Amino acid sequence: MNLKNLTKKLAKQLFEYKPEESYDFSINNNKDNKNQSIQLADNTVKYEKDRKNQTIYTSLTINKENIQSIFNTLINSDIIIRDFILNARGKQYSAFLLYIDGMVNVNAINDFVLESLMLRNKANTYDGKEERIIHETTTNNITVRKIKKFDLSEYIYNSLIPENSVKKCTKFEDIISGVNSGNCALFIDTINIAFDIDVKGFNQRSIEAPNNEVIIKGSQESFVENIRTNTSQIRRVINNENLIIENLTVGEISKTKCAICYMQNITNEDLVSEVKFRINNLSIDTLLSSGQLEQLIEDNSRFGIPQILSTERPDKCAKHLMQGRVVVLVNGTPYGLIMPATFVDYMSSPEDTNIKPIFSNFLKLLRFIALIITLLLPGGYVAITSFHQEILPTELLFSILAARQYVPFPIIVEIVTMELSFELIREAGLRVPSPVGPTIGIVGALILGEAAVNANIVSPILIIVVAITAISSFAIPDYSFSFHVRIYRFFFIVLGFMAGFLGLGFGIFAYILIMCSLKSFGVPYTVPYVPSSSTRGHGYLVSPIWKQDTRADYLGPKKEKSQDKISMKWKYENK
Amino acid sequence: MNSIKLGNFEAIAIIVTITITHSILTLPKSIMVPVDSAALLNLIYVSILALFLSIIIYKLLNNFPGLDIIDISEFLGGKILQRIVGLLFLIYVLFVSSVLLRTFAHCLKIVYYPMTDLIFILAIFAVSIPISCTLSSETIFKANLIIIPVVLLGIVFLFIANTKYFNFENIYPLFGNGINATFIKGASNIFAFGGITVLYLLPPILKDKMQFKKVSILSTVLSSIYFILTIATILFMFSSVSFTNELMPLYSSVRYIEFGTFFQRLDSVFLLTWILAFFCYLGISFRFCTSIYKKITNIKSNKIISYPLTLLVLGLSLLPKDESITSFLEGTVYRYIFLIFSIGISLLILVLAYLKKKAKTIKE
Repeated sequence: MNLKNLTKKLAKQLFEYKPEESYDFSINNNKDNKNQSIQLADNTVKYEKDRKNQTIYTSLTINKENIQSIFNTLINSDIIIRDFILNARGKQYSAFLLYIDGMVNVNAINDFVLESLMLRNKANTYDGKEERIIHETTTNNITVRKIKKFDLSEYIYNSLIPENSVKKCTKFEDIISGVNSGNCALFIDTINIAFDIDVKGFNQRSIEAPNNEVIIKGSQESFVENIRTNTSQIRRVINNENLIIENLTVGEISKTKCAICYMQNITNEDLVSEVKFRINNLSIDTLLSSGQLEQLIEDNSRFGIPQILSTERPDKCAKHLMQGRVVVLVNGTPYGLIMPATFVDYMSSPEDTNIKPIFSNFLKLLRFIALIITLLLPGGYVAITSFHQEILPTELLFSILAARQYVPFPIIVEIVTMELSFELIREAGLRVPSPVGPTIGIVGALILGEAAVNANIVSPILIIVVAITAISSFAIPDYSFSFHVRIYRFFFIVLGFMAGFLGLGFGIFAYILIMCSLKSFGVPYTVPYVPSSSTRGHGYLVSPIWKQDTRADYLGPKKEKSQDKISMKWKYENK
Repeated sequence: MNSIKLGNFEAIAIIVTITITHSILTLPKSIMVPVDSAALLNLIYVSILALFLSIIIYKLLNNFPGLDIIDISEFLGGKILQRIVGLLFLIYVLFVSSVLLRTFAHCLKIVYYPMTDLIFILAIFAVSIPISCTLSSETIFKANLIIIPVVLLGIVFLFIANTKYFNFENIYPLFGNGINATFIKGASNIFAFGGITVLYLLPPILKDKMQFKKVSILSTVLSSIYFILTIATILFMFSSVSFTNELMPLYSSVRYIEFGTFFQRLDSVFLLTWILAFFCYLGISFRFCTSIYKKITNIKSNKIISYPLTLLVLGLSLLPKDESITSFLEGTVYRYIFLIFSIGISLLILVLAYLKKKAKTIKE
């Protein structure tokens, strides 16, 4: 290479323009642009709303253009518009079918919509008189005839669509809502009515055994994501025409279907109205789950204590419906919300009524002890070891002191570290793929615990305290209720460390105050004890089934008696 | 406060709470020292007097259904008397609360927190007051109804668990320091039933106004039973010489409870229940304080006033220089304030109001 070329190459490398190689993308967050885009979005929303509110035109072309614009068919790949020629009474009409691919049952469309409309058959080729005489009377040689003129939409509705659920719609809004939920829409030239035909056919999960509310004696069915399957499950248990299932939609954009279920002859009307009032007055864009709805309609969300029961069991919902409560189901969520709920409900398991009272009461007492342990054991341990050592027998005190001898941290650091580690293991165990879950548990609980003790980071007695607390937290039947107890225990740890039993006393007092201040849809959280009401069959302990002859008076049911005073007539009345 | 509606149990629990709070401190000593071994006899006598007093209060208040003493004083002497009586009640409740707070905090310091500053203990109690006042109106009364049965069961347990240490000869001589000391001078021991003062403020907040009689009688009977159990435990366990030296005689009796070699010191658990009762007492006192304040000043919400009142009580409880002053305030001053204010002035107002009403009726 000669010098000239070398110099040229060097100069080129030095002075030649090189485009930026690194790729940088950032969302424009400029305030002016933001305001502009917000205004644009607002205008678009308004325009969309106006367009949806429009009534259906007689011109098929205009309707089609409208639909294409609303659904953005040029870029939306799963919106299908199928044009065809409809045969009716020997005449032919242009028509199109609109549906979303993947949400409809294709066979139903082919066999019961397209075939009956397109193919020439006896029904659509019948060329009778256009005017039908409905009624005819002759008085004084004058014949009076009542004639019904031919109506194409009526004819199609009555004779050409052999589907069980077909609605006539006059507004685009109704049609769009139907199509979005899996129906298909039929538009026909010359008529200003479109048909919303129920041909839903998306794949859904089959009914399985409950995952989170496992019981031994009792139903093994749980809710699924489809709201209609869930309502049918409740109806199958209750078997009564007084079960009302009202449908509501929540969410400006998502239009999520919610079902409010209650027993017409049992549930207090004010309670039903209140539930409907709260759900109807939600101004949100999207509702994706029952958990979101729970947060939106509960009385007080300041303290994290749940006030609405959430269950995946249809039998539990049915049981509460029969007591006079309201159940709300949300489409897309395999959980039902039961309201109102009290402290006693959160400590009850669906199995309690399926086993003998003596067994269920034993379990309920165990659960109550578990609640106290979860809430107070770590805080109590800190309080006792820091301030009230005299409560411990001398031998136990010596063994605790000996175990803590080589631990360099103060007790608060030790226990908070361990409790946080446990929460970490629990969270990691939930999030990892299921085959790895047990491994996390083994690694966390056994290996780390053992290693931490051997390394003198924590004392063995503390491992026992944390383990008992963890096991107790699992014994609380309701997940949300258990969760709040897990959070509150950290406050008790801090209070116990700050002021021993005085701090714990403060915490217990504040906790009881909070519990007493809560109401769930007008029902105090601590009923039937405070304020006191009849506990016959509704107290913390389970009464024998023959004693459960009244419904809880705090629910204000229309029908107070749930069974005869003497329910076992075979035993007492025949003698 | 008038928006609150209490059931019978909640109302009874209020009066019992006040009795319990006094009894866990130096009150048993104040009752027992002047009458010595006749304490139990004196207490039965005083309980009968308290029952009569509560019936008289009920009878007088019954002439003005649904009105408390502050409303009645307005009827008697207009807005001025209403404000004076309201202020007197406010001062009475604040005084008793601050004295009890100081005494209890001091006892806790001696027993468990010798290294802790008194103000820290006082502050923990003080923090609970605004919490109970800012939550919904009936909350503190509901919480009290949950806590008080536990404390009552505790005292029954204490009595049963200590029976093996009882020396029943401690009740001799039966009349202690003499019949005069037991029944004439000893009548002033009625101050132990300080909770009766609440009866004057109860009628407007009762859910069922017709049950006021039941509430008055039952609360006094329950307080009497509680006191008899407490005094009997202390009297049967300690000789008169030893209980005069005890700061908290009831606490001293708890220390004797033991089951086998494992459960030897349950005093902390008892103290925990008493701490809860004391939190309830403060909450209830302040609920009444704020409502009285609201009534005499016509402020819209009584929640915000709980903060300055809390600071006031905290300041008042820090005022006594040493515990002898607190002890004097609790044992002697409180005794006479109760006799003058709760029995003397309050009853006089009710009697005069009754006479005015009668005269008005005759005139019409």
